[in-house]
This record gives sequence, C-alpha cells and structure tokens, in this order.
Amino acid sequence: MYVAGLDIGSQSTCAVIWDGEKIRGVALRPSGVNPKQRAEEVLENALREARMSRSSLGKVVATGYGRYQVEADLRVSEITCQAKGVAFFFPQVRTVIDIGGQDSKVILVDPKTGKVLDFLMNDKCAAGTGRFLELMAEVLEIDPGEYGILAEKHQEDVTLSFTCAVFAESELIGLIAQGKTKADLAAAVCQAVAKQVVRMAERLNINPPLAITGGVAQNRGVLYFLEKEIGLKPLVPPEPLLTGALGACLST
Amino acid sequence: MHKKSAFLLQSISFLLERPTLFALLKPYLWWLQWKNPFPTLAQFSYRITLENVLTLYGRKKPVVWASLFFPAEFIYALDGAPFYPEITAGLFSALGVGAIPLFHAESHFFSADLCSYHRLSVGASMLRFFPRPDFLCATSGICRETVPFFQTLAELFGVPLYLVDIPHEFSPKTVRYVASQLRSIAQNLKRDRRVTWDFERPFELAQKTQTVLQEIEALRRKKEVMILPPTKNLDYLPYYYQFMGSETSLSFFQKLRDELRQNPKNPLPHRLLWLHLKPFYSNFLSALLTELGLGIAFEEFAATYSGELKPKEPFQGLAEKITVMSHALMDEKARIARILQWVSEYQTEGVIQFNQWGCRQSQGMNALLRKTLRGEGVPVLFLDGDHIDRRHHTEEQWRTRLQAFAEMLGG
Repeated sequence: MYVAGLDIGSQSTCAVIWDGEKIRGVALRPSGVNPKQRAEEVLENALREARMSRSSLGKVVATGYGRYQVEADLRVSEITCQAKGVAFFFPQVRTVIDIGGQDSKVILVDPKTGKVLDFLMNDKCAAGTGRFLELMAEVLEIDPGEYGILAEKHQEDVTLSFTCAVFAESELIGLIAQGKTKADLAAAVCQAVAKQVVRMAERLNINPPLAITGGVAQNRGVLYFLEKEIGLKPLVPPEPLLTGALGACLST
Repeated sequence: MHKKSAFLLQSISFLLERPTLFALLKPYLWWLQWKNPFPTLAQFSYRITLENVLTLYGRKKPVVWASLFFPAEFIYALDGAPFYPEITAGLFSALGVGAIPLFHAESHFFSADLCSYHRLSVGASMLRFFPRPDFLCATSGICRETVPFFQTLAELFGVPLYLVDIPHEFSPKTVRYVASQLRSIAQNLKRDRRVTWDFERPFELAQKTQTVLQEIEALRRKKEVMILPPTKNLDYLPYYYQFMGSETSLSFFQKLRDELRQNPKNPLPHRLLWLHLKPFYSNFLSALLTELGLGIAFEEFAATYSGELKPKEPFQGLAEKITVMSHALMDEKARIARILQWVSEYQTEGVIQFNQWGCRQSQGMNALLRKTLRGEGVPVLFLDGDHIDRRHHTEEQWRTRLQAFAEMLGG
C-alpha cells in the first residue's frame, strides 16, 4: 500500500510517498499563509516525482501544526512522527532533538520498540527555534544559510542573553554598534540557539546516540555549538526536514 | 479608559451595591423551584448560583471572604455567608467577563506575572464587582501570595483581616498553634461583632457530606465510572470548599453520587490523574481530552479531609483540617506521596499537571514530582497555560502535547 506522509510545519511543508519499503517521492516547500493549499501542492509534487496518481494512494497521514487543516486518513502528532522517522535512518537512536521553525522538541525514544518514552517542547518563546535564527539573520543582513560559514570564522566569544527574540534583537543591534564582527555575532546567535535547546534537553537527560532533525539541523553553526554544549556528536539524517513526513508514513 | 466604558463600569458597580435590587431574584428562584422540583445537577447548580448571588449581593447575612483553604464550616458556624474570591474568579472567567478586572488590576500596578486568580479578584474588588465583605479570613497556606493578596483586599475595603499562620511542617504542636489562632479569631469576632457560635450543624453537615464524598470516590475508583466530560468535576469546586458544612454541598454530592450510580457513561479509554485546576474560560481543553480519549479519574483539588470535626473541640478539629490539607499541598514529600497513592488507588496510567501561569506552589516541585513519577514508571505531562487569563493559552500547543501524550500512552 502506498502511503503519503504530510508534515505541515510553521515554516516548511513536506510530503513523502512511501511504498512500504522505500521512499518513492518527496517534495518540500515553504508553508506560506495557506497551509492547506501548500499541502496539496507538495503532495502533487511528491506524487509527480513518484510517477503516481492520487488515486493510487492507500492512505494520507498528516502531522505538524497544520495537520487538522488538511484532509487526511490519520493525524499523528509531530512528536511520534519525528521519533519514527529518525528511527528509520538510525534505529539505535535514544534521543531526538527537533528544532523547527517555531518550536523545538526533545524526544526520548526506546530503541528496542521505537516508542516515545518522554518528550518536552519549548513554550511561548522563539529563542531556540528557526524563527530566532531568521530574525537575527535579518538584523545581521545575512542569509540564514550563511550562519555556518560565518560562525566558523569567529574570533571572539560573544554571549547573547537570549531572554527573548525581541530583547536579543536589540542586544544584537547594541553589539553591532560596539563594532563586533558579523562572524562573531553569527556565532553568538548559533550558540544562543544551541544553549536554549540544550537547557531544555537536559531536563530529560540526553541519552546517546542523539539525532538532530528539523531545518536547523542543516545549520552547521548551531550543530557545532550543540556538539560543544552536549559533548556528543549528533547524528543528522540525510534529509532532516523530511523525517516528520516519513514518520507519518510509518505511523500507519 | 473611554468615558462610555468608565460610565458603564460605574453603573454596574452602583447596581451591584444595591441589595434591595437582588430581591427581584426571589420570584424567579421560586419559579425555578416550582418548575424543577427534582433538578438535574446542572439545574441545581444554576439555582444555587442565583441563590448565592441573592445571599451575597442582597446582604442577607454577614459576607465573609475567605482564602481557598480557610474552612467554610467556621463561617457557617457564625451564620455568615462565605465568599471565596479565588473560586469566583473562576466563575467570572467562565462567564467571559474576566478580561475587564484583569486589565483593571494590571493598570494599577498588579503585575501580569502574578497569579491570575488574585489579579482578577483584586481588579473585580477595585471595580466593586464582588460583594462587599464584612471581614476577611485567610490562611498563609498553601500559597504564599495569599497573604499580601488578602492584605490588599483588606486595605481596599477598609475591613479587618483575620489571618491564620500555617507552619510548613505538620505535627500536634503546629495543630495546637493553628487552633489557638482560630480560637483567638473567634473570641475577637464575639467581642467586636457580637457573633454567636454554633458549630453543631455545620460540622454535622460536613461529616455527612464527607461520607457521601467517600461513596463517590469509591465509585470513581471503578474503571467503568468516570465523570464526563473530563475536568468537569473541577466545575464543582464551590461544593468542595465554599458550601462545605451546608445543606447545599450535601444535596449536591448526593445528587452526584446518585447520578454516578444510575447513569454510568461509557468511560474514556485512558484514566489519568489531574493536578491543579483547569482553564475556566474555554471548553476546548475538555473537548480535546474527550477527543483524544483522555479521561480524568481523579483531581488533586477534589481531595477532601477525612478527619472528624467535633463540636466540643471545634478549633482543634478545624485546625487539624487546615494543617493537614495545607501540608499535603505545600510539602513536596507529602504532596508527591499522596499523588503516588492516588495513581495506585484510581488505577491511572499517567498524570497531567496544568502549570498555572505564575503559580510557584505547584510548579516549584515539578522536577521532584517528575523524577519520582518517572522512577515509578508513571508518565507525566506538564501543560502550561492559565486557568483564568486567556491571553496565556495556546490551544494548538495543548493539542500537540496532549495528542503526543495520548500516543505515548496508547503505543
């Protein structure tokens, strides 16, 4: 049976077509302001890549914050889907940190069964999310994709208080006025995100092996500081943005 | 504030302070009684709410404000009408009129980080929406914010505050210490307000209610019995506190017991323990719990006192009640031990604690609670939000957490 997994996140919407053994098609686009329409588009794109029609799908499983806005046979939380999606790539994983656009999650997984043992999500705070990185990138006048390259060049350790995204923005402007370099400030932003996530993760005790998913898993700067803070080299799935949609397929 | 709004608020408070106006409720109450001689729980609650409005705003008896853990039996013994501002804050929020007093309090230096039960109550008191008190009674347990909150109320209304200091530890010595304070308050009230005391009737009613509550709890321990929708029992809070020691509480719980016996509903698949209270302004959470199959087998605030109240030693009995109940919530070891006991007794699969915004009493021990429960293999979810102030609630965040929790339990 062919299954489509749809992950409608705050920033990205992903679709995966699964044939029961392997991935047949994937598609990914920014969520935009009409998640329902965007979900339809990515599903069509993924079906096109898999060279299939909608009628050949056995089930559609939705996850992510927009899961109730789309037509689906099953709706599963992103916590369960991330755990299942990561377990597909790394069956031995015991901790998953998913850093998404508007929230971050820490999930403890039983590697024997793949079941979620416990989880935590950040609440009412953009610090520690992809949105924080985007906001700070606007202040630094850089593309969010440049964080890793810039952070590698940093010379001086600068600490941001990361109380909240708005305070951090004004703090960053103050540091720019002090003449701090873009590289040092990019590193400071990455470190702030990493520290915020680790602070939450440590509440659950990080059990190795650890995997990182979500858009921020593609940010080398944040990964560097996460590794430094935790003292573990995290595993990153080949497509860290697609693990939620893949997990949705595997939830049937 | 806009002139029209200010005029409207002043008009409301003017009308609320006219006791004779509330006499108009009498024929309606009589008609309700005639129409529904055997009321359902909802009809009974509606009538009791109106009767309570008539008593409090109509100033039928001395109006005595009390903090949640000050025993209502003490107030019934002096033939007063108990009023619990924290409970009424929940009612205001449920009626959708919480935003005005919250805003009013915040615009008068009451920080938005303070507990919203207290913030709303202060705002409603400043606006004269609550019935004017004759005097106030409060305990320093379970929440340390209660003392400055009641001191503020006493200042606002210019009435005496009788404060009972509750030590953290529980022992015969601390019970004697609390009893001596209650005795002293009673003597002062007798001297200053010519109060006559009769503990016989309220104690008798409280003991009878206690027996019925034990029957209810014995029923709720059965897997086929569940109060639905989930968290509904927390709407019955006034009967556990404000009306304890009166016919009202006894009648209500007799009806609840009979309803649980006669009309067992299909229980939800999962049985959970609920810690702290719940949002009153929205039914979303209750509907979501139902949708996800998460039933509530027992609630922390439905725990009652099972000790004996003796009219011959009224202050000793009441002191023991206050101290035992405060200790069970203030002391982390006592609270966690009791939670574990409930998990076992009510056969719950997990625990949900609703983290009330700004509540130090409950959240201060979250780490210890989680560690102990996880150590015993009991899943626990901390759900952040606010029971009173809807600005601190995010429905979709609740949905994700609760759905993941349900999947975790089900998987």
